[in-house]
Amino acid sequence: MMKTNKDKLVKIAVLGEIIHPGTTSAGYSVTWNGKAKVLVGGGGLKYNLRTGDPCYGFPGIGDDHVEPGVIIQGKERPDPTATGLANLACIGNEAVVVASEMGKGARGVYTGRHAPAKDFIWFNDEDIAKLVIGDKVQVKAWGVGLEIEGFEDVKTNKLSPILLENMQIEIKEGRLVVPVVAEIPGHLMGSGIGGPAVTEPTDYDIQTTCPGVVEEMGLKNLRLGDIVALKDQACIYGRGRYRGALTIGVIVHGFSDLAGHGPGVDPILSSIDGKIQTRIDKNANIALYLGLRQKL
Amino acid sequence: MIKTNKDKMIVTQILGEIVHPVLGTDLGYMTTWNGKSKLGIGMGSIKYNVKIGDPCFGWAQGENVEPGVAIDRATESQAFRMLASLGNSAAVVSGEAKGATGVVIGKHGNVPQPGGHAAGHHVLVAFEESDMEKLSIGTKVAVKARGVGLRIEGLEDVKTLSIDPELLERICVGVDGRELVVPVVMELPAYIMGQGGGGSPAETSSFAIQTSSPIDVEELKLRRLRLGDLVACRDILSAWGRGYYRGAVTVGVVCSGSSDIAGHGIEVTCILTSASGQIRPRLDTEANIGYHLGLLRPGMRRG
Repeated sequence: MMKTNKDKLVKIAVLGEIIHPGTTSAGYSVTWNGKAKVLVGGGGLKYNLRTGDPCYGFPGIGDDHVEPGVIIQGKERPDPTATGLANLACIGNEAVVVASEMGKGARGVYTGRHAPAKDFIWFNDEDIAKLVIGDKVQVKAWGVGLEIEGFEDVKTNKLSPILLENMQIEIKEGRLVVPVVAEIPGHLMGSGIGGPAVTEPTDYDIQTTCPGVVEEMGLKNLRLGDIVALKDQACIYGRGRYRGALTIGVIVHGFSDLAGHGPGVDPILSSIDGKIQTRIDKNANIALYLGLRQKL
Repeated sequence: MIKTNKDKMIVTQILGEIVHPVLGTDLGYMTTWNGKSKLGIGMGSIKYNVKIGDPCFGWAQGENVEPGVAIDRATESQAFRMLASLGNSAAVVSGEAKGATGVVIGKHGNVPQPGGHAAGHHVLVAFEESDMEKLSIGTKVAVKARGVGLRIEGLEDVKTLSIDPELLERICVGVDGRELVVPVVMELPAYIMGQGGGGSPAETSSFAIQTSSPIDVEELKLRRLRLGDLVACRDILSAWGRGYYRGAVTVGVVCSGSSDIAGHGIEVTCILTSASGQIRPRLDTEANIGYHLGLLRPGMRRG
């Protein structure tokens, strides 16, 4: 049985606002092989794309970096990366609509973040139908400082105690055994690597712009919300390669045709000294762990 | 000897100005990969004692230390960053050093910028020591930009980036069969490439050889790298943005020293890339643009 310090964690409200869908300001984006493309799938409200859905759609003809559910943004500072929502909200936190003509009081769950400016909330279909761009959503941020007894060196990041407890992690021979759908070699990690020297507000991408590798590794089978392991990657203070490290993360957004981009990962656990090992479980997905869906 | 389309290339002026020093973060102390605080020095401004050929490691509290003089665009336009190319000539057009000439030696992206997520960008220029004494922050420098559109005859699948044709001619040994032969000091595996991955357009910014994994730094002998060195990155494509592509080769020039931030490191300005591997790197411990630009004499990689 895993013990944590959850009783000592501050639970604090953070606020965001549903934002418009975005595209590249200059019009077309340019794919890895020099083709022009309109990006669709980021921002706004998605009525038919939810955590647990496949993260490969049809990138060649349109979708890119698709984000599930309702997308909100912290607005109290000019840089969304510096907001309370971006830094303090954790996957699995409770959310509630606090300002909305039709959807006030609707309850949801925080499901992840796509840097630099988008945070995701799961709502059920009836509630999404009532929401409007500009509505305000408050999240009970709870998880910063989370430690697992005996594994204090394992960094937790954007991880609520609820999700941690439901991830079916076992302790064996002094290691955390974490179910994951796949192990990703570190050399596939692309956009977002490096970046600001703070782990919390930034995801980074499993590159899907080398078609041979996508097929060989079965990356098209990944789903939004899947839990994956990133080999030789440390996400403790920032994101980067560290030989022998292992990072566990949640897939937050979909495929991409942009060079060096692909499904984004929010790191949730990271160890540089071998405290984490994995076991493959095709159902390791936050939609199941958080009770958002009964099956995938 | 390679043949290029240099006679068809447009030469155009771009204007920049010498920037203030940039610290490791806009908030003062930066955080290293292992959670320590550091005041990083070496980005931006005029570095009087950091030159092409100097080591990438070892500068006191150095963080992405850049050689020479750091210049950025004088207006909001992206043109300065897109069009400046290594080997372009530069001239001081304001202040006490007016008329002094220099040469572009690097393009460094991923520079921390106050109050925003977007990274800054520096074009690095080497001037004579006597001229550097007369330069000041804010001095305007005009560059004769030539590089965009450069093609190498017979090599349709080699894209050039940010490189002046005359410097490229000196760097490349020639074409052997269907491959461009390029001397480099080392070949790097894709797993070591970090910050800058995914960045687009490929003409701006730079790509980091990560120096925050100590075992890799030793094993790959990264401490041997020097500012201005040519390196080859295996399985990296830098055509329209930067990323992993099996079989591709990218050649770049080292434009900054090491970093202690996770995923950051020695920055490389990409100059040649081929998806089908039409580039054949050839190991040469002296492969450094300083020799081709008259900034170093044979055997003079410093330190």
